[in-house]
Amino acid sequence: MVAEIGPSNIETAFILEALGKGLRVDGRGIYDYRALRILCGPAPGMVEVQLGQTRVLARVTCEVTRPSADRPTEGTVQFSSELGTLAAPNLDRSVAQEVAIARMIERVIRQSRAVDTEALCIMAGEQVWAVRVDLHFLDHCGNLVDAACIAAVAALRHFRRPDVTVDGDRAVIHDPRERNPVPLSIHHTPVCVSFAFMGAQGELVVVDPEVREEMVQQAAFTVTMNAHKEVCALNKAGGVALDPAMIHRCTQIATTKAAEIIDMIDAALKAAAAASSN
Amino acid sequence: MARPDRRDTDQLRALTSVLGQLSRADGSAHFASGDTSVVCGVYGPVEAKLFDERLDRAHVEVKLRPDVGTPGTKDKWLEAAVRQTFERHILGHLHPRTLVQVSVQVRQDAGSLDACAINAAMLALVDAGVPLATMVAAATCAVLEDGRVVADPVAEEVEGARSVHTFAFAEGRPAEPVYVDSRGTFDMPEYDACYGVCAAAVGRVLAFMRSAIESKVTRESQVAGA
Amino acid sequence: MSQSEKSGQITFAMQTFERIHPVEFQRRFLTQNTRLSGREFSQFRALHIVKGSIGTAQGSATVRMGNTIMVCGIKAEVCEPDVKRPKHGYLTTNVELSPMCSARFRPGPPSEEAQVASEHIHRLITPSVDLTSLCIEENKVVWALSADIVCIKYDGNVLDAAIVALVAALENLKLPEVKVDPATGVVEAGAEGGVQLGIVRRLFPATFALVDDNYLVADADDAEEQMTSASLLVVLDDQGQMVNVWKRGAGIISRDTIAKCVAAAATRKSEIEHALST
Repeated sequence: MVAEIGPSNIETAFILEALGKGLRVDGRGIYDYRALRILCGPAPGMVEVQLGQTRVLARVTCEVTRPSADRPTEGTVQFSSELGTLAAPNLDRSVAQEVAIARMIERVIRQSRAVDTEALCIMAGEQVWAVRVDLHFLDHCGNLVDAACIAAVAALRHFRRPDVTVDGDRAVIHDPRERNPVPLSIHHTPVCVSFAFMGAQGELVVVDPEVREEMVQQAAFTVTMNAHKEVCALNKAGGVALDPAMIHRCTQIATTKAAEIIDMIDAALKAAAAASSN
Repeated sequence: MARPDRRDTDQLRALTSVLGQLSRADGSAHFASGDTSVVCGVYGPVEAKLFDERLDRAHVEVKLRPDVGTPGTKDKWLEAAVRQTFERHILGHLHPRTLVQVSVQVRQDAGSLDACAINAAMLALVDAGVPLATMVAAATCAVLEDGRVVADPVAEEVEGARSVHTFAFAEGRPAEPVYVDSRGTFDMPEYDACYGVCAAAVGRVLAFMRSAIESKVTRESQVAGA
Repeated sequence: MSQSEKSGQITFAMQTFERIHPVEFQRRFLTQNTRLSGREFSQFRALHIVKGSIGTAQGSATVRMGNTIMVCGIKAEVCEPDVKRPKHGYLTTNVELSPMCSARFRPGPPSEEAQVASEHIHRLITPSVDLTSLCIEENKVVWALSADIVCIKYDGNVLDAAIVALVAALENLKLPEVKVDPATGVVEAGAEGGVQLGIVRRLFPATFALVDDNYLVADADDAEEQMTSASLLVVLDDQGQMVNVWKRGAGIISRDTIAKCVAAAATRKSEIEHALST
């Protein structure tokens, strides 16, 4: 199979020239985020995110396992995000990109301690919950990271695990039909906002790059923020060197974008909760 | 005793489908039977790897990814089942030395997944405009502990079932099953009963698929005309 | 290569014909209602089963079916049970089709055929054995059986041979007596022999293949399998009840033909029963 053919020289020149005049290939302004749709359900922990044409499906599931010996009172949260053959032709070659996305999501959610892993303990040293987040990329039209992050966080918040009561040295796991399942304990909602830098020195910057812009970008930069306007993670892996002032500006833009995204996640979860209680 | 979702014994769950939802794939379909839903995308005909290249026909590849967990032998099994069901109905000789790549992504498995995967793949192939000899659809039924035969069982029913049967038929050929997978413990009369239930169900699924395709084509021709 | 030309007609040695046009060669037999092996269309190959062929395995069997030879060895190890099923042991099946048995297979990860066979056999055998009979101490120690079914020589219909080999090896299986020291938790194996696996039902497979879209033959060999457009596996249990009907491939095997195959499988069942008892 041939590798994915990037944009031609003439296309690259067009994208850059238009961008120099403040125009983007899909008609957006340079700081516009694409239309975001968040669909929750029907199963708990199932969320599909549409960011423009990009689609990512997140599934959160859990099961009871034995804890690891060095952390007997903590459950686990595991992420899996493989780029299959569905999202774009010839995707199975770009292993580097796949690993980059998986690492990023893991860092953003696990290492920012968004999920309370100690609350996943059922009986210390005996049984804990292992939460698993599967991210499926359905359609790759740019900025998979942001879409995946939104899907993962929203799915974790939408998820309900079976209720457990501990009776002496026995844990009873209640069937969801018997007793209402309970949500996970989530400390905060971190979301990613990605920027792409184009042009020889990376002087042209856009937020939420689409797939053609990603192909001509010189550097990518992702800011992860939560609703408290706290920076949870910054990621710039390689590419052209950037001015610190630029980083600062991006972070400020990300603050407003993150607040909007988190509002949409809240609204989607609220709507899902209202629909299920009816 | 009523079924968990209060359906009649031969009633299918609500069928839904969306064609051409994915922008990158050449053709795609989202097919759902109740809560069991599958999304499938087709790329093709595209350039084949040298190793897979067939001189006289297109090579058909099916990749299936489960909703939860990493792909295992269970998914490989279903992948092979999906491919073998329609491999011969693709007019591959029209596109020699190419590859038709079918990617199936399970969204949720709430019972009768095998049939749902076959149906989604079929619709995606139609949507991609891959030349086909005929349409194929599949349906599942189960024989419960009390001997009742129920169509399109949910996960809960499959778990307690004595046997589970999945059949696929080509349009208009109810006497020649394309795919059969019956498992559990059963005798010939039960098998026959399930055959009948599935053949009838497949007829309804095919009618649904046909109307889904027709409405998409009508919509597209209206857009093109306007 | 003997080749003579008389009045425009070419005469080959039979082996040459088989080499250069295998499909036409087979067809010459099939149109005469016979097969290269001399078998009738409905005739299966004779089965030879040797139980306990591998001394170092806890259970083993070698099955020869014409030129197809399969060896099944079962290894038993102790391990912790799954939290959800504290009384259940494990049984895993693995079918190996290596380049050793046929030039069709390549070295490296298992082929699709091998993986599908492993999975199918696993699905059939799991409800056929009593996994709770593998429990040593609830929630602490259980047996994990891994059945490796290796093809030594490939001449078609490995699935039947593999199922028979597995059933024979499971009948042959003898687990050592085990004691768990309650103080240290150390598992000690006693003398060989003693405990046997609880077998709920034995499996009697019969495979039929549609060759050249026209001829339904029982127990196809390798050359016939190359021309197969559909295959039908019928598995019966001890009572003659059906356990599995599995038709693959798009070739036409009608509803009535399937019913006839099920009847023919009953005859094959008594052959396998006889071979298993000797």
